[in-house]
Amino acid sequence: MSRIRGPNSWAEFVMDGPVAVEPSDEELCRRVAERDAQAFDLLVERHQARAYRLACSIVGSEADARDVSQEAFIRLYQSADRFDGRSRFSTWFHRILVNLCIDHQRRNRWWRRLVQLSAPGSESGEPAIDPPSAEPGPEQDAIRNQSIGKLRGLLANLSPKQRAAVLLQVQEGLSSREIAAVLECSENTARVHVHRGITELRKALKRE
Amino acid sequence: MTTRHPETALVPYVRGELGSEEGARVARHLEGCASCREAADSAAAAMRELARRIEAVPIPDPAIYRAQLYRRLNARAEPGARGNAETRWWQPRIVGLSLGAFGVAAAALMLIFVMHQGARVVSPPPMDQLATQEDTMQEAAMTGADVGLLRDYPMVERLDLLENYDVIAHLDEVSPAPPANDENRS
Repeated sequence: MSRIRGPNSWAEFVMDGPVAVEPSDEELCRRVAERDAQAFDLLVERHQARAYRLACSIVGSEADARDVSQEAFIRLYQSADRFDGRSRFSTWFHRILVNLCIDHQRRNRWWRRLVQLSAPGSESGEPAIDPPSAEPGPEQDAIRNQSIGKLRGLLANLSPKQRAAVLLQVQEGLSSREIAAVLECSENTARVHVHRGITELRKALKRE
Repeated sequence: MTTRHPETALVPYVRGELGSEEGARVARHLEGCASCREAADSAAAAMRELARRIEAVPIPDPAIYRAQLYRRLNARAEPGARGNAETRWWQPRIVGLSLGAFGVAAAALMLIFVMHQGARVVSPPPMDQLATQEDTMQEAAMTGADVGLLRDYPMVERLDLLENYDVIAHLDEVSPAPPANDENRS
C-alpha cells in the first residue's frame, strides 16, 4: 500500500516493510540554510522544469528564462535562512522567481536597452551561458523557438503582473489567495489581474 | 436577475475555488446571464489553450541546466565575485546612466527656464498706449484713499511726504500759499 501526499510537496511512502519518507520542500529549505548541498540539489531537481517554464512564459525568451530561473535558485541558496516557514515553500520560491521575472521585464524596456553601456552579465564575473552546441541540434532549437513564439504571441499584450497571475493559476494551479500571497497584493487585486489577463488571452485567441 | 456581472469571480468559479455562498451567487447569475456564461466558457477554453502551449515548451536538459547553475553559484561564492554584490554607484554602467540622466534633467530644466523667461517677456505696448498707462499709474498714486493708508503706516507717519499727500488730496480746498511758506517746506 502506498500513500502519496501532494504531488510537489512531500511524498510519504508507507510500504509493507520499512517506511521511506521524502523530505518536504520546507525541510529541504531548512537544510539548504545550513548549506546542505544535497538538499539544494534535490530542491533544484524538483523545481527546475517548472521554474524554467514559468520564467519562459513570463519573459518570453529561452535564454532569459534560463538565466532568470537559475538566478532564482541562486537567491534561494543565498537566502534560505530567511525562509521562516510561515508560508509554503512554493509560495516563497514563486515570489522570488516572479519578482525576478518582473524585474527582468522592467530592465529590458526598450529605452533601457538603448542606454545600456555594457553587455549584460559582463560585470558579474560569471561564466557565459554554454554555447548552443551543448544542446540538441537545430531541429530541436526550431521546435523550441516555435513553441516559445506561440506562447509569446498569446501573452504579448499582458502586463508582467497579469502574466504572472495567469501563469501561476494555469501552470502552477494556484488559487487567487495564493497568487495574492506571491504577488504581495490583495486577493481582489489578484482576481483582477487574472480576469484582465484572461480577457487579453481570449482576444489574442480570437485574433489568431 | 442581478445586473452587476461577477467578472472577476468567473475564473475562480470555473476553477471551483469559490466558497459556497459566493459560488452559489455566481451560479445564480450565470443561469440568467448568457454573456457571462459565454465569458466563463471562453475563459476556460483560453486557460486550456494556454496550458497546452506551456506544456509544448521543451525544457532544457536537466544536467546541463544544473551544471550551469552550479558554475554560476560557485562563481558567486568565489572571493571578489561581484555577481550578487549590491550595485555600487561607481560601477561604470551606473555612472554612465547617472550622467545621462543628469544631462537630460539639466537640459529639461534649461528648457523650462528659457520657456518661462520667454513667457515673462511682455511685448511693449504701442506708443499711443504708453502715455495712457503712465497717466493711470500717476492717478492711482495720487488718490486721496492712499493718504489714509499711509497715515496708518507708522514708518511713514511723520514723513513730510504725508503732508504733501494731504495737500494733494485736498487740492481743491487749498488756497494759494505765500511763496515764503513753500520755501520753508522744502
